[in-house]
Amino acid sequence: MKNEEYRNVWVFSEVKEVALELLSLGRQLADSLGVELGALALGNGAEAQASEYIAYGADRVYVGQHPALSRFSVEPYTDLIAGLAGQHRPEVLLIGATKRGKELAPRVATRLGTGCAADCISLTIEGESRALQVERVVYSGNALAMLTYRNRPQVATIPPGIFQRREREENRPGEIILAELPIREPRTRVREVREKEKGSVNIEAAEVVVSCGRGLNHPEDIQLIRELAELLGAEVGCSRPIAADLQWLSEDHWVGLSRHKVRPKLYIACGISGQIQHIAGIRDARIVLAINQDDAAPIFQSADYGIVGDLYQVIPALKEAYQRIVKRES
Amino acid sequence: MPEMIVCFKEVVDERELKVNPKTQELMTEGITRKISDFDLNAIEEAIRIKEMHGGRATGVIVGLPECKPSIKKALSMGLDRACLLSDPAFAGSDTLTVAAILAAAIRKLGPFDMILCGEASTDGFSAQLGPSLAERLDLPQITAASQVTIEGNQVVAERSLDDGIEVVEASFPVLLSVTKEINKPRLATLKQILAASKKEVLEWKAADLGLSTDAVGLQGSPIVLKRVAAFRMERKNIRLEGTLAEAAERAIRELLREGVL
Amino acid sequence: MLNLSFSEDQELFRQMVREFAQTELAPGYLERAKREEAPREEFRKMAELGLTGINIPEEYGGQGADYVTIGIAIEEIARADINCSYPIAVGGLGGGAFLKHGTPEQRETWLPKITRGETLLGLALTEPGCGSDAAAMKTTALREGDGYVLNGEKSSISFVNCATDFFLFAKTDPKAGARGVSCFLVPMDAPGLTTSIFHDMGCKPIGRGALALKEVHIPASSLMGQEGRGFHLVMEEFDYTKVLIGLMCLGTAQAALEDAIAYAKERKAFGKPIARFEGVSFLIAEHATRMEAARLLCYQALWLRDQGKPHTKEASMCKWWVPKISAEAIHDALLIHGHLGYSDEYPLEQRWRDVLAFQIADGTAQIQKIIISREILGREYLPY
Repeated sequence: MKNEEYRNVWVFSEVKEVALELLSLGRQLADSLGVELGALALGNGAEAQASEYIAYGADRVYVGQHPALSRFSVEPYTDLIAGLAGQHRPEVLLIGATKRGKELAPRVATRLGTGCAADCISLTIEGESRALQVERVVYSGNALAMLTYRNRPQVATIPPGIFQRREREENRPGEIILAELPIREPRTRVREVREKEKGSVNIEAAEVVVSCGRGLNHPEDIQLIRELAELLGAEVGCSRPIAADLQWLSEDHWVGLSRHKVRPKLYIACGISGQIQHIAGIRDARIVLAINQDDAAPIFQSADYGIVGDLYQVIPALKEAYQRIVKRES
Repeated sequence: MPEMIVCFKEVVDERELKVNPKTQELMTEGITRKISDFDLNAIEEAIRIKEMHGGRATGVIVGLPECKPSIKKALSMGLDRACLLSDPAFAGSDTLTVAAILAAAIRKLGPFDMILCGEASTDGFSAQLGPSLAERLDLPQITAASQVTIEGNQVVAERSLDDGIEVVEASFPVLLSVTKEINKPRLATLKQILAASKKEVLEWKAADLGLSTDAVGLQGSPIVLKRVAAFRMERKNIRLEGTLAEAAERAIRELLREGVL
Repeated sequence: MLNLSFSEDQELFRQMVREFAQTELAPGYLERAKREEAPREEFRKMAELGLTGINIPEEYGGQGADYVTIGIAIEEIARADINCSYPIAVGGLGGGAFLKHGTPEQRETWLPKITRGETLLGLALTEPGCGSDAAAMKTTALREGDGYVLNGEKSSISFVNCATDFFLFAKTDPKAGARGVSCFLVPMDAPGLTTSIFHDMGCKPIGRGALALKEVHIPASSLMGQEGRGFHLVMEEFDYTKVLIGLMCLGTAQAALEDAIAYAKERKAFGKPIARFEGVSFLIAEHATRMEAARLLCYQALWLRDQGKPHTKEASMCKWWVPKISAEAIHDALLIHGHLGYSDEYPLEQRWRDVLAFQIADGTAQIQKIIISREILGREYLPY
């Protein structure tokens, strides 16, 4: 099959909110290619979702309602998505990079004999070849790789929260198609689902660290830091005074040259002035966000992003913004 | 007595990465190479399973002939034998093509009960190898396993997902990809290092696996790597102005765009 | 033929030890270094990895490797925590001594316990009035029934805070000089043996201190080797610990130099990294050169030992020179860091304090130079 025989952009995520973000991205790509935007809605309530997807930019939605699709399972989902893509030949297939999306996309791509790029943060169409060009972070955040595709469909997974959903458009025209395809039962069986337990501190291995310093007024206010950390899946860190002088946190949390040197993707310094010992401990953080009341605090010199303000107000605002933009009940 | 295959790979030690100041490209030449972190967890898990249930664990790696010290390390930890898939034609293979090479070798190695691999590699972190390999070999997959138990001829595993823990089971043969939390990889003693020299290392090329050189490597891979550019390490010093709510919203959006949240 | 490379196995071993040391030992070095408490938990982990029985044969649970390999382990552990490298040296020494001078029963009893880390040996040679001049030793071990009775005082002994047993040297013939000295195995809990700890400026976890022996009764089976051959045992077996001391200091200095290199690349003055100023970069170049030479000297001495060749001269060269250049390298690494290096929150001053101990321990520079001169010029030019 020649590349030119593939047309249209498709999106799928088992999480509705992520699907809406992908629709926004997919719409842009479809428009620049001058093709239709398709979406896949699988499982329980798929039909209701389908009309939502149209309101958010899809021209066509394929609905799958087989009992084996009622909860996500990679094998039947692969059967259906790869089956549909084989029939209808989209040129681009975007899948939300949730953990489930990430186990699905490579299986689908492999079955279709094509390539897949994971966790793409930038996607553009190269004019003449109509090829998708993507960028993704590699080497633990040290570098950015630019990739393109030889085959079709071009499969990419997109991390949640990177693209904003479009405005909802009532009465947007679109077609809903019921997909009937052979689906096999999954060979894995779910025994139990439960909440995640909290692990012990390993701050040096943490991907995100929310850290606090002298800007905190009372030991019980650590809770504020913990809440933000929990929301972001982060470990709690602190500067020397909190661990050594005040002993509000154990030394496991102490970030600085003489204790733990951290190398997270993101370091959020809340109410930390930014003494050199502390800065040396966060040298390897990829991005530093600093929150401090003092406009002249040295921490801002060592930060990528800075918010001047009272951490007691900034942290709740950050939590609210994060919840609104990213976190959602699935 | 499960027959196990462990897939592992070598990556550059990212702590040693340097940037060419002129081109902003990443220089990966001459940097220490090591076994990718999560793959060490996969090796360790296979050894633990072996210690409890017996069986055999074979390591399979696609790499340059220079990766032999890493193979020796894996054997020192306790794998029984290793299989090096090395061919100049493999150079430039994308992840799914590496999965195809591994699949060909695993078929050639014969029947097995479990394939273990790391959830993702520390260089690319795409987490694609496991699922792609499972698809090639038509196996059920359990990705992101943070705990594994063997019950007769089936595996029960806890999966660490975005929204919780899922306990799943599957009968042999099955593919598992493991997280860093599953165990702490052991360090070999000198005695084990010396003993590893006596273990078998198979070496296969594309032809041994019945793979056409057009189907692998740069020309056989659907994904083309155009460029790897360094992130600039200097701090950006951007003040987020406006009301607190505006500043907070901008902060979250910027962090998402940076790919760090 | 000259071949200066380590074997593939040794390289892999070095990598393993480094991984262990950098993850398990390095983070807590500074904190532990300030306490007069032996790092027992760390010692236990090292024994688990087989680091206390590197030269002990497999039949006793050891690794059955050579002295060069011990050197590799010591260098890597010291890069993370010099105090933790000490039991490897002592384990190697004890292992070697039992293999060569111990009775079959002693080997059976002691070697497995050393490899498992259950036995930690201290070395009790020095006395308040004598160090390298063993002939002047005052402690006595006199025959009584089928055992010995020990009386005297030992000073400047390592591991007084944690050793299970000591190789203790005492005169079985008080009238004889060096030929009257014998070596005994004395348990820490022997009745009549009391200890006291010195409060040193560095190497606090190693627990330097004194032993007082008052009517300490030990069985005849505690004699190591033959009566009157104790000093000979010191000379023959303990030469190479001088080399290991060199590698301990060198590993520590290497860590300091690497810190200085990283800091010099980062710290800016006049708009550029201070590493671009020759006042800094040449300093680094000079220390790196000396340290490279020192490393070659140390491994050559260990290699000579592995070949069964004399290495007294080389060992003494290691002992006086390597701790000295290591201390100097750490000193300059500290200065490169400016005030940051002067802070006790930063490991440089601690490393400097720690290596100073080894300019004194196991014979000063002066005694080493006397030995080297004797080896080069001949006995007839000894000053005494």
